[in-house]
Amino acid sequence: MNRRAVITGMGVVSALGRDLDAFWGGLVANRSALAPIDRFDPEGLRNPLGGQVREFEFAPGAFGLDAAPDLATQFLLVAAREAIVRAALLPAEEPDPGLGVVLATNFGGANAWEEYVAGLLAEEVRTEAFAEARFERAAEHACAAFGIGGPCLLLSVACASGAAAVGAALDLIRTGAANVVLAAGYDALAPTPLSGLSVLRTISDEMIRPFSADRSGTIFGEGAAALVVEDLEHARARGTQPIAEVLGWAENNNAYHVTAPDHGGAGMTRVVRNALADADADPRSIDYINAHGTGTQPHDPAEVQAVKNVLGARACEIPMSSIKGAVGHMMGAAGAAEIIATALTITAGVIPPTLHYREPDPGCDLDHVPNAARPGEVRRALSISAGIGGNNSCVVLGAVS
Amino acid sequence: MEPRIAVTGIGAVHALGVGVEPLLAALRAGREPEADLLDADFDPEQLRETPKTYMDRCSDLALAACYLAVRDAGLGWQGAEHADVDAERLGASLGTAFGPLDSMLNMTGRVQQKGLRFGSPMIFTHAFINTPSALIAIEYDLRGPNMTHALGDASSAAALAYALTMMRAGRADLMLVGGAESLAEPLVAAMDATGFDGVLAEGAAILVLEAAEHAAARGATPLAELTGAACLAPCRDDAGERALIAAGTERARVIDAASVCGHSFGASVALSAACCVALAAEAGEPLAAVARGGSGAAIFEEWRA
Repeated sequence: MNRRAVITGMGVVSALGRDLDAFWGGLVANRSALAPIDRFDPEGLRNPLGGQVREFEFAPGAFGLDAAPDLATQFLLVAAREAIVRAALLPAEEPDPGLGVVLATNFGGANAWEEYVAGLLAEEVRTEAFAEARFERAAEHACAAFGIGGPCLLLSVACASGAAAVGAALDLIRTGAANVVLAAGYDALAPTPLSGLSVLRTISDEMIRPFSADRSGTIFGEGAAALVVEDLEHARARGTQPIAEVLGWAENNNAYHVTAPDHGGAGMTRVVRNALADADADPRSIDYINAHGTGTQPHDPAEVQAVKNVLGARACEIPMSSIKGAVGHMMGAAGAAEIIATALTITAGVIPPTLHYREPDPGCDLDHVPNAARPGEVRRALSISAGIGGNNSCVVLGAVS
Repeated sequence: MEPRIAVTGIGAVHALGVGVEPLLAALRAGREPEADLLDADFDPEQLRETPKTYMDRCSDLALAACYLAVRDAGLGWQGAEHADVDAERLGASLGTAFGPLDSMLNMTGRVQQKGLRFGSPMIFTHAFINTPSALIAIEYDLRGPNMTHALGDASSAAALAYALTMMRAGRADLMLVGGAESLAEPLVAAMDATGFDGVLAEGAAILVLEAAEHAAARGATPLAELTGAACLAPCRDDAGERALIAAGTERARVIDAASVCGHSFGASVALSAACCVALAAEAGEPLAAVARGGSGAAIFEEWRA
């Protein structure tokens, strides 16, 4: 029998605010935190809007650091600390071999990278900026700050990364490689990724409107989302109340095109089917789907088709919403943030809405919970993610029985 | 019952040439890497299934290693054409510390010098750290698990550990697993400035990992068995011990490809692993590929039916 894994702590830094309460409170209050980016000049982007984290302060000393690390890493450390505190994990004196970590990001230290390249253009080699731009640097900081001495992974499968981190954490618990795993996604807005996503026309020139007929692209956001994923028996033994169970997961690749979804959402269909099989869950037992729902023309109907392919008639009976209208597409943090929203949907009995929705689309004809949160009893739910490169991830959560 | 995981093919490109043989010859001769930066000397056009208009060097290296490994495994695939195989059961897991850094530099240079309007969609698409593994999936129609691991020198140890977990859980029957690193200009500049204490080199190595039953069904003879792997927090230096415990063995001889072909960050463990596989049958003892610093490791043993 596989060991079971539960979520025992969660933390979020997002455009809605600097902690979990601000994130969830904003989601269920139908708040959109999208506003013009002002950390750098967004001139030249298709849209100045972004889900920028504001009024964020970082105290390096609180994490055993002398200087502030890259901005994305700051988001990660703050969200991770909240998750660990909420899980009531005691600070470790020595690195704990039973405590693992799975991090996930698209662009890692993207702002440190900008600084490094600015240095090169000025014929100056800024070695500290380069050190902070290295992907593994975030793992070094997180392990040192939280006494992590167990298994460590740092994954990058574009926007499917955050969900894969939670899935890989489940595998580490199941195999007994760790008792507790910190799973977190993080990314920060930065000029180069935003420029690329703009010239790819992934960014809307108007507003993000997932599943709406007049959708024209996504709006990106930033932040970090962290979950403490723990062996159920371990959580019980230390008297911690589990929030939700991670029942199963899957990840795969469309093997079709680097930026376009495949025909009829075939890859997403397989990832949802495989995740349900891994969870040993009947498709008819699913009560809610937290969609990837980017608001691009090709993505949303492909995701709807994938859900219909696997859930059949059940797909039309249950809500499927996207929170990206509230916080923007948080890139490597998106999947983890959406899994947190999914877990809270189960515990709070409230379905977060799809914001900025205007017109029904025959290709996106499920219950997309337009513009207003509503009550709903959810026992089991899916969170779906997809990313550039053709990667897909899906995680199945359930109420703790 | 968990499946045993066989290695049925290996492919490598590195500063000493193409294939694993030059590495083995240098290891046997105890040669040390030259004190200059070493570039892999090969024509990527010749080690590629299909023509490409634009490729980052890191992706070139990764696809070349796949090209060699797929042939070494006798898979008989013609690029994405593989008969009698369920593509959903095929995957990839790639380690790279920096990924397509030349393309990312090109992109950021444009953005900083000309403005945000002037990024190139093509170059940007090729600059994601998961671009090489995505290209592997597209090139070989691998529709199962696909992951990129960016964990510095331990990157390809992470790729091996991840793939071993996935395959033992029955999530895939066959995966192309390894690492790739190119000597991008900004990387070399930073390493020069910090006084990196070794010989830098680029390279890539891919192992064909295959569930034993899958290999047997197609009549493939395993070269070695991957019996254990571990990737731990960067502060740890005992991943070798953890991998030995996972492998159920007490000791293993460490094979260090970097000692002959230079240090290639995320590709180093994969290059050592390819050597371990090639030497497994004659070694008479388990062999280990270990990350610089010791936070990642993989154990290979002679295949015994």
